[in-house]
Order: sequence, then C-alpha cells, then structure tokens
Amino acid sequence: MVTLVTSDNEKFTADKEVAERSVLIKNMLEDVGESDQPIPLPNVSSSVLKKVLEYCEHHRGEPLPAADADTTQDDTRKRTTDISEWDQKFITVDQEMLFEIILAANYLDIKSLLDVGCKTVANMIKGKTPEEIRKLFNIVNDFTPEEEAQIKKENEWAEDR
Amino acid sequence: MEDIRNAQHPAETEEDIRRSIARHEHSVADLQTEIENLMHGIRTLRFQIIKHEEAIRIHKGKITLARRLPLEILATIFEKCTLDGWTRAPLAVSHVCSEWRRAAQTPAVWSQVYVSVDSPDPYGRTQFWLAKSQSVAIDITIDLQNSAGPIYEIMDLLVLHRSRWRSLTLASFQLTAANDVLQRCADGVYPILRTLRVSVDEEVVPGDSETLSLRDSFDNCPQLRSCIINRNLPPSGRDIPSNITNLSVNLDGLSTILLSVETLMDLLLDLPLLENFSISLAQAQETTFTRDTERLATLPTLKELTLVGQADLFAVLRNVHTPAILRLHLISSAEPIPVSDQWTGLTLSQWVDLGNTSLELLELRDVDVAEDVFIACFTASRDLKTLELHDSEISDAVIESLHVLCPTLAVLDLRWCGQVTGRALVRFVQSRMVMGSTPIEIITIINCSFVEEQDILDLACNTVCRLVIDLNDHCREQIPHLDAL
Repeated sequence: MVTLVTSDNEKFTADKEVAERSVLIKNMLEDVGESDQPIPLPNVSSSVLKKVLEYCEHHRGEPLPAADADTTQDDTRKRTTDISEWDQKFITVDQEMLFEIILAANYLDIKSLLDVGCKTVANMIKGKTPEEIRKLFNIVNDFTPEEEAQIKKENEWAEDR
Repeated sequence: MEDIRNAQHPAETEEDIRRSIARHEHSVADLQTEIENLMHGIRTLRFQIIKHEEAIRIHKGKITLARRLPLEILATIFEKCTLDGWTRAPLAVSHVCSEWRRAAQTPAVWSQVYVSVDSPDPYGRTQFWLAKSQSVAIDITIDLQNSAGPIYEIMDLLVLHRSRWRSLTLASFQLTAANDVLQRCADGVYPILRTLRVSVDEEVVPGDSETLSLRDSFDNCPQLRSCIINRNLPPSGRDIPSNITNLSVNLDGLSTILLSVETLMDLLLDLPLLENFSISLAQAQETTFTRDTERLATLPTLKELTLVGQADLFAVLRNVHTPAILRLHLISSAEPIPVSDQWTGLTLSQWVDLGNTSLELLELRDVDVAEDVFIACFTASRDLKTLELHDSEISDAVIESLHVLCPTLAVLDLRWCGQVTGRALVRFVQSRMVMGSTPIEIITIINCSFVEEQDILDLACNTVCRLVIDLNDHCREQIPHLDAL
C-alpha cells in the first residue's frame, strides 16, 4: 500500500498497482525504494485526489498508453474525441472539478486521464462560436484593438466547416 | 391618527369634513413620496449589487481555470477538435481570449488543412493555414464539390509544402477534376506521406477512361502505406502506388457493374507488399461478381483480408493462396437466411484446402456455414486465437470441439447464434481451465437465445466478469444489452 498526502493535508492509502498509474508516483516510489514514507502531493487537493484514485482503481491492470503514441497516424481515422461510457460518467462533474482533474492528471502524469479530460473539454467547445465559448467558461474578451482588427480579418475564413 | 368611525362630531360642518379629507390626502401623498424614495434607494442598491456581481464575474473570468490551463494542454484540446473534423477550430479558439490565442499559436493546432474550393478566398485561407502550421506534418483535405475554382493555384501552393504532407484526402464529384488535382502532385518526393484517400461520386462504366492516376503522382513516397478509394469501379493495380501495404476499396456505386475475380487478382498481384486488403460492395447491390478464372495467385505478404458483399464476392478465396494470412473477415451484405450458405461453405473449404492454415482471427458476420465446414476450418487453423460469429447456427458439438481443434483460442464472440447453448459454453470455458490449457480471456454473448442467466453466472464464476460497453462495436445500435464476460 502507498500513502499519499494531499495539499489540504489529508492522507489517502491506495494499492501500489493503482497509485502507480501515475508516472510521477511510480518514479517517486522507485526513487525512494521500499519505504513506508507518505508521498506528498502539494498540487492536488483531497477532493480531486479522491476522483483521480477512483479513475485509477477502475482502470487498474490496463496497459499504460505509450508516451509517444501518435493518434494522427491512425489510417482508420477513428474519432479522436470518443470517450468510453464509464469515463464519460466519471468525468461528468462541474467545470471547476473538470479543470482541476485535468491539472492533476497533468501533474501526476496520468496520460489516459489527461486525455479523457482534454477530450471532454474538446467536446464541449466543438462547433461553438467564440462568444458561445466565452459564455460557457466565463472567459473575458481581453483583446487589444489591434488583435480585434486581426481577428476581424481572419473571420473571413471562418465560414468553412 | 383619530378613529374617524367612532368619533362624535355633531357640530362638524361640511367644510370641516373637506379639510379633514384634504389633510388625509396630503398625508397619503407624503407617504407615497417616502415609499418612492425608499424604492429608489432599493433600486440603487440593487443596481450596485449587479455592478459588483458583474465585476466579480469579470474578475473570476480573468482567473478562470479555462484560461489558466497550461498552454500545452489548451493546445492539445484544440488539436483534438481539429483532428475530429472541426477544421475551423483553430480560428474559433484563437478568437476567444488572448490566452487561448497564445495557445492556438502552437503549429500542431493548424495541422489539418481543409481546402473547400466553394468557400470565400480558399487560396488565402490555405496560405494562412500553411503559414500557421509552420513546419509540422500536415493532413490535407481537398473538397472539390462540383467546381474546381482556383484549385490549380492552391495545388501549386500546397506542393511547395510536400515535405510536410502526412495524408491527403481528396473528395470530388467528377473523376476528371480529381485526376487534374492528382496530376498537380506529380514529379515530387513526399517523404512522410502515409495515407491517401480518394472519393469520386461520379459513376463510370468500365473501359470509359476510368483510371485514377495515383501511382503516377505518388510513386515517390517512401512512407506511403495506406490507400483508401471510394468510387464505383475498382482501381487497377497499375493505378495504385506499388509500395502500399494497406488497401481499402469501397465500391458504393448504384449503377449495374459486372466485376470479376480476374480484375481483383490483377489488382492484388500488382501490389507485392500488400498486407491488409479490404473490399466492400455493401452498398453496390446491383454489382455482380463473376468467377471467370481458375488462376491461383499467391499473395505472400497478405495478413488481413476483409470481404464485404454477397456470396459471389467471397469466391475470390478459391483463387488465392495466402501463406501469411492472420485475419479473415467475411461480412455479408445480403439479407440473412435461416440456413447455412452452401456456396460460401464450399468456398471456405476450398480456401482451407489450398493450405491457408495460419489464421489467428476468423470473423463470419451474417455468413453461416455447415458443421463440416466449421470443423474443416478449425482443424486447419490450429493457431486460431479469436473467433467471431454473427448470426450463425453453430452447434454445441462444434463449440466443444474447439477445445481440441484450436488449443490457443482465447477470444470468443457470439452474436445472434440461435443454436448454441449456455451449458456448452460453460463446459468449453471449464475445459480450458485445466493446467496447461490456454484459458478463455474474453467471451462475448449477445442475443443468443439458449444462453440463460444461470449460464452467465456460471461463466462469471470461472472468468473475470466485466460489463463492457464498446462505443465502436458494430452491433452497438442494434443491441438492447451487452453481456461480456
């Protein structure tokens, strides 16, 4: 078993096999060797780590994706934003949590979870106008007048699919 | 305030009463004014709250995580959007805010170059995209629709970047227009080009200058592996670049075309490195396939063969020796019939007799064969690892014979198999649990009438049981539930 300590000082225990789906944790465990020392995760809060461990537990034993997997070479052109049904339910959370999970997956180096998070955001924005995206994520339009002028010019090409 | 109902004022004159009324009316007016002043104050306070809320929203917007994601993650998200076919994504996302615009500067976000000749200023758009994508590998899609527009200028621009072409997808209504574009690609090296996809809607009759000149244009592509062609006539082997390993031909024309085994043999023999070949006549219901030759061709490199169509297409199996074959998919586009298909059975038996015995995967979808054909196939395929049957009347006896005939079989996928019983499946799985046998890794059962709930529970006792819902499953839209064990 591995003990993980979150940014809000909560302790979680997890099977080594589950925790090691995080490349960061795997490397840390390899570095410290056989030890009962808890692993500090200062960039992950307890609510987020709980979700991350739920994901790792469900995908326990599955082969880890290759670090340099190149999906664009897939001749069959499988949709790049397809998400399995379980993962879809798992990632149905509020926006704040979605982005926190993405940041945690990035920090912990869990490629498949980062991929699910990125695909989810991609599916949320696909086909929307910039204004609709701003409303969706409460993003402020902060362009300078020069940038606005450039954007106006680029909009000429925005009519395609 | 005095109680005006009980007050006794016997000497009160009309004048006094009118003065009282006036006094009360004045008080009411004063109170109304006071209310209005208070309401104005409330409105002012509410307006201030709205202004603060708006300021909070704007400030939150400035620090929203959607903006604060690392640029490389934002770029990955944008790239996923474009790879999924939303080619306008780089423009849309770079018009959201300055941070997203910065992330969208990543060249890979602009890797999907979509050219639609009917759109406004397609040349300027292509030029812009090529500049933004800098030096990354690009996937080009050219949609000619019904007009060629400024396509020649655009092609001249695109071929300047031929060293970056990773794939080319060309969709055209007319064959001539498609060939014009392909000819513009000639005389150059495409060092990383891996995939060509060409779709032509126009239907052509055989012999009517039907050539699609892919080989002339792309004969100097060391990485080229895959070619996908959608039209109503099969290409000739001389049309296809000779170094490809994957060829998929989808013949979806509506006109009546006569195709022959000879044509197909010529195509295959012209491609000496071919490893995966797929031909689909699923939509071409008017097309018939004649067996016009007894010639036997050896395809030494072919590993996967997929035939989608009616039984006459499967006849090609009787003419090919495929010593390296690993995967065979026979998928019928005909209406299912409740009896085994003797013609396909004979074809399969003869194919096996030709020494095609290295199969690791056999898929028969809506194709049923007799018991003796199954036995002959399995006897010859001792290395079979995966068996997928859809709409088959395979019997318990044949299933149980798999234990001896195919000792390394590990994946069994049965759908709409109306004869096999759950007890036979349980016995088969149990027979593979003894020391030294290859255990069954995955068994999928969909809509098999004689597999009962108890059988599923018994299978679950002997294997790891998982409920799997596969979004890419070919039966996904037809099935009410899926039990995979």
